[in-house]
Amino acid sequence: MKDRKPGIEIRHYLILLGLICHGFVWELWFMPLIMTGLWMVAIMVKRDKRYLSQTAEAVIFFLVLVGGFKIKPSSGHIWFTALGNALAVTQLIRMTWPSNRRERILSTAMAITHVAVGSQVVFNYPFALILIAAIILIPTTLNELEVRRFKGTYTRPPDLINWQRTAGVFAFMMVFFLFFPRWQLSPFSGRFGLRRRGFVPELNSARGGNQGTHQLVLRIEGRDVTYLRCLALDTFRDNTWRAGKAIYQFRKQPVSGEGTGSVYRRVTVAAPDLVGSMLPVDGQVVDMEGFRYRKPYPAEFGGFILPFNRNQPFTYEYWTVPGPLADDLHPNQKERYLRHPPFGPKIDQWLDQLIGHEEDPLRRATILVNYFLTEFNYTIGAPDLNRHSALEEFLFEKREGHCERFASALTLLLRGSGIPARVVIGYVATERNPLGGFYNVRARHAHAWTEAWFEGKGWITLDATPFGTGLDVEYGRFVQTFYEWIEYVWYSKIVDFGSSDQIRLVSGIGGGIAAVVRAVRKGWNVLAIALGGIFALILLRSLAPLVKRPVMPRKPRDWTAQEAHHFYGRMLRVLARQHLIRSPSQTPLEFLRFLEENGHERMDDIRLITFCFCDVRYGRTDLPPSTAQELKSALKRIIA
Amino acid sequence: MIFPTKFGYGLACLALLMYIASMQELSGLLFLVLGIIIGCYIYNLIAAIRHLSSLRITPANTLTATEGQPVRGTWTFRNPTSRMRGFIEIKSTWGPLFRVGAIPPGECIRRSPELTLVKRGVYPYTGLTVSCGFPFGLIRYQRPFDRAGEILVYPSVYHCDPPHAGGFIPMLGGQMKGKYRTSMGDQFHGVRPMQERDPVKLIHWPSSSKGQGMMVKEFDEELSGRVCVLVDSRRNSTPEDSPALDWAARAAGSLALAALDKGNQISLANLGTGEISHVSPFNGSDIVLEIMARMEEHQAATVITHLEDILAHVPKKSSLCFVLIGEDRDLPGFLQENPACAKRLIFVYLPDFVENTAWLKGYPICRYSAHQIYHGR
Repeated sequence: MKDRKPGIEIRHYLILLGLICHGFVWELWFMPLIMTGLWMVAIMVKRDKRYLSQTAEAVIFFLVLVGGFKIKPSSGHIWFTALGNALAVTQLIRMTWPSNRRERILSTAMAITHVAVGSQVVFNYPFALILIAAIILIPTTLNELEVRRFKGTYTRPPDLINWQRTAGVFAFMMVFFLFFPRWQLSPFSGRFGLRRRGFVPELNSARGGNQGTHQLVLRIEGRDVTYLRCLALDTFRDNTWRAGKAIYQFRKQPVSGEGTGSVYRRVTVAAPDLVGSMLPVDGQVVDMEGFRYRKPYPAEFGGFILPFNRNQPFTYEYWTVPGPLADDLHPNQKERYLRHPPFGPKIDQWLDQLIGHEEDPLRRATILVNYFLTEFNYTIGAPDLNRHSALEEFLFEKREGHCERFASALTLLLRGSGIPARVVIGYVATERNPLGGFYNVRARHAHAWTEAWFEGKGWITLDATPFGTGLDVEYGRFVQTFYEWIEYVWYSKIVDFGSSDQIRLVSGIGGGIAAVVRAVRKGWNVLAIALGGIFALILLRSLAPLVKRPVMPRKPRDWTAQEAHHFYGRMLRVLARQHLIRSPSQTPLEFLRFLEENGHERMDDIRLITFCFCDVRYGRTDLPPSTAQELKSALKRIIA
Repeated sequence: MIFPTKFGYGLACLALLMYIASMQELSGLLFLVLGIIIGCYIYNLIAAIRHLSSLRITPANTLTATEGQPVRGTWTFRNPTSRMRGFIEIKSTWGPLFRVGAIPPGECIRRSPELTLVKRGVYPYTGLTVSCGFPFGLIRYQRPFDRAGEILVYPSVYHCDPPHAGGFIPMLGGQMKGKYRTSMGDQFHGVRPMQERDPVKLIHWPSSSKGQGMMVKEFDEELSGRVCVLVDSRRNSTPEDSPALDWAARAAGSLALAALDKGNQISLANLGTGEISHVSPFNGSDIVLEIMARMEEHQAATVITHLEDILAHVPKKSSLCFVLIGEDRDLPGFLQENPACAKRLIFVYLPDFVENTAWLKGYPICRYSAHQIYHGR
């Protein structure tokens, strides 16, 4: 009898998936392809029996493990790579000979480990494809291992790929992912100390500005998000605004928690180097979460400052009351926010002419803002101003510039009018994704504006930069919008799905249930109709068996036995032509054992026909039409 | 009872490691991979319980087997649901009984046990468990499966010379040839002239047509002897430290079946309990084997305790074949003194590890070992 090589098992495809994931750990684009090629080679060079001893296998494992520490991938993950290499080589070697059950189980565990490691390296949403393959292959491989335990007891082996089972596993997977508690033990990865790069905390009003890039800085979930405050600059000297030490002082927060009128924001920082240690926030923040260790602290200007820098993208969420910061100013603070260099007589005269008649400070500020909005132009890259008379030149000659000049000018003029004011730098959220309800904040959205303090109102945002008709919300093209939405859902709802999301989900479900209960209490008639409908459905379903279906005439018993005999006899004749002759003294099961010992391409079909024949002929079972059809197909395969 | 299999424990350890790793990492994707594994466990648990709960298992009342041979007989497994059921294992204290891979929906299959028992005896269906690990084999759901029924393991009998029978009586089907002729039988002897009251069906037409008158058929008389096999069921061990009764049961069973094959009637008696069973040659061999299978050891000190009672219930002229497992010096004296034993053919079968036979002086002795009977002192 010619030696026959065993076929490909579902487990081999799981091994392939694991090898591809391990290829991604190398962070070289061609490594997954190389792994796939090695897998194919292993499939093609399969042997009929083991050719390496266990000792030799162990030696190869350790050699590859040690070698993995020498060959470092470019980005690190040294332990992942070294151990994964050793496991991958073991997998490939073991694929080249028939495995026993223990080896199959170990290789399944190794493949699952590869996939798990891959999930920590492949963050992108292409991992969704790996996940889909894992959802199909892992349960199917486990089922295949169990099916093999019962080999020889089947009349007809069950289908390996079962979509109902896959759907069930997927459902349980999602429940586990959404609701199983999560904890995080890793400290922040970052250096201690305030950063100076990224958002440079100074602003030179004399210099011309540059258009920012399209780079995504952060995404923020929430409604009606406009000005995101990063830092306030309160000290003006030599045409430059800086943040004094007082800006960084701790600010006493209101009672934390979701206060009346507070709204929720969730921020995913994609470019931490541009954000630095100053967390963009808006409104009056009442609570912040997302930091287990070394939490940011609220600073005097109403922003939040991290005590150290972060190198990796991160997410935080906060609750805020939209509107001005309702602070009372201490006389020292008032004095600090009124400091300004003396104006020349031209500016004094102009100011007096413009707002001198107005008593109300808020009205005076409004007049100044409107003046800039209507009389000035917004340009990027305007030439530098005269450093000795920058304000005068801007007000009376140039009358154009970027946001920093407008903010600087307005702040100085407000201070000159006796209104405490400061320059605030941050971002303005105008690019909204309608699908996800979030804002994309990019580098080009960096902005500077003015905050002025009014008695009884607090710090009110004043933006003198003429953007045309105001802050218009931008919408991108649909394809781009959809793509960004997918990316957003992937990162914020799956990769970064954390314990706070779980709490929110549970609260939402609880709220939904409570809403249903309230609705039910109010609408008893609706409930009665719904219950009546459900009851009717149940009644119809239970009455269905009473409806008699036409009974197919059953074949006589002898006919069934003859039919089984016919298939078995035909199979014996076909096998006889293949020089596999059953002797008269051999029972069908003895002949089957003989064939199993010698091997045959179509063992499964032979087994099916033999067991069917025995069941019908000796076990007095029936031969349903579906089974007869399967026997026909099996016979055709054997003949072929 | 629900418990993880070995593979289940191993995969659970891997899942625990992954969960610990997830605490160190910032990506939620590991939770998805972990969720697949957890989902497999949960699905396995639910499916295993459903499979086992919906399956209908009907055991056979009695399964039979011969020592060292696979068990014969089938149990019925019925799947009344509309989905495939399977991966069922039934285990006993003596080994795995059944493994059923798949039962198509609405169908019924019959399976023989995958069990070979090497020792004769009665194995009741107690301590059985049925379990299912469908579909992943990570978690197994098991419950006890106690039913009325048993597995009867017959002794492995062997070919031997039939024992000498006594008390021959005419019996149709008997294999001994008598000196008389009868009007019915299997062995045709010849013809004789028809006499009054001879039935018409006995007329031998070929010879009657020769004109010599009506001739009727004659047959040889068929005789059937009677043998009484008495089994010593005292507690004793062979040199291999196995119960000597196993040897004795095989030898007694072989003798009884050989006697039945010869057309003799046999009586089987248990010297330990005094029970007697009469088996006619037309009955199957199963009765003999069943008696031998059910025979148990007793703590009796001597074989003559119930012997008198036994002899009162067996045919007076039947031969006596004592299958002993050890010495009993009271026996020869009893046989000599008891009038019921006078004029009977008496044979004694001793195991070959009993070396001293002087105490049985005057009686023909045969030897038996684990798998044969041979003549010789």
